[in-house]
Amino acid sequence: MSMTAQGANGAPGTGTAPAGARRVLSRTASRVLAAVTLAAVALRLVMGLFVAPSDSAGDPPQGQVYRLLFLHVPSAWVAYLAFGVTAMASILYLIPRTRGLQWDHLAGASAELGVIFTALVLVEGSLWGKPVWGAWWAWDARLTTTAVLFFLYLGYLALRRIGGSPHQRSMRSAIAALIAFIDVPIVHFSVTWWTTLHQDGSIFNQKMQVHIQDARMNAALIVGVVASTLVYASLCIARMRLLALEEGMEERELQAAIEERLAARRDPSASSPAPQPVVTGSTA
Amino acid sequence: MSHVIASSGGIAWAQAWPYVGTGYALAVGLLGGYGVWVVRKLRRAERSLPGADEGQL
Repeated sequence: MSMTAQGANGAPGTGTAPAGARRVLSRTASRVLAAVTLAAVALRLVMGLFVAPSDSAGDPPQGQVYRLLFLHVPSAWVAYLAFGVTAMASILYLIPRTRGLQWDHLAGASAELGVIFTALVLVEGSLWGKPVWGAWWAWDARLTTTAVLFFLYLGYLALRRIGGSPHQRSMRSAIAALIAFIDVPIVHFSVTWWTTLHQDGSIFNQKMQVHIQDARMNAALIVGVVASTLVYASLCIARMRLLALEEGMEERELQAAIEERLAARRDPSASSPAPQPVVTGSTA
Repeated sequence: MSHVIASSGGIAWAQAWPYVGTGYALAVGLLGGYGVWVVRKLRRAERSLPGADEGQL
């Protein structure tokens, strides 16, 4: 592949930043995005904890504990989004015409955030389930498939750490990401396909009837979704760039080691080779 | 806790706060901690790679 042959680093050995590490946003735009994200998170906390009324109209009414859903539902949305972005970026990497390491970095960054948001979905759901269902966990279809999703993408992140050339790593990661993504629609439709303890969609049910009637509850949920999406976008852009820079640093170190070895071969007196271990026969 | 649910107003703050508080603190802590970790590593990587801050896409 041309990128690995020439080096993922734009100019290997020169100490410059890799081409894939160019900024997605300018420094100013990054700061504006960070400020907007923090403001949205603050608004979300106020809306979710104080502005939205207590649930007294539900069947049965959940009182104050339903406020966890303002975290749980947006986290689930962002987890879907993150794994969807990972799948799309993986497809773009697998297509030879669009192949580029930036897609691999996007896939890796997005999957990492997807795992974090899925962990939040599981924990927040568990915290809500204890007072409402009377159990921290149930082997319900939605819960189980979500746990499987979490472990599938943990495996994907572990696979990304296994050695090889950047192209080898990216290829196998892209294939693994597409396999793992099969579970996303299963998670989503699990409440439709099977009889589950987990309720139907939180905003719309299968008949597309709106569940939540209170305007302040809806506003808190929408602000939560927007804030979570902004958090995802900000962190994904930063993580993607970090992955590209780290790859550039690895390549620079490798290039320096190769150059040192070549220099030592050309002029053995110029460098003192590292002492070789003494082989003393059988050591077993 | 189901007896609390069955009451007219649902679960009151007195019973709900440990769950709600833990959930919100965990979300802020996990995402905030991850954000700080990424930004710190990014700044360090930018310092160690000259020209890392030049290109803008």
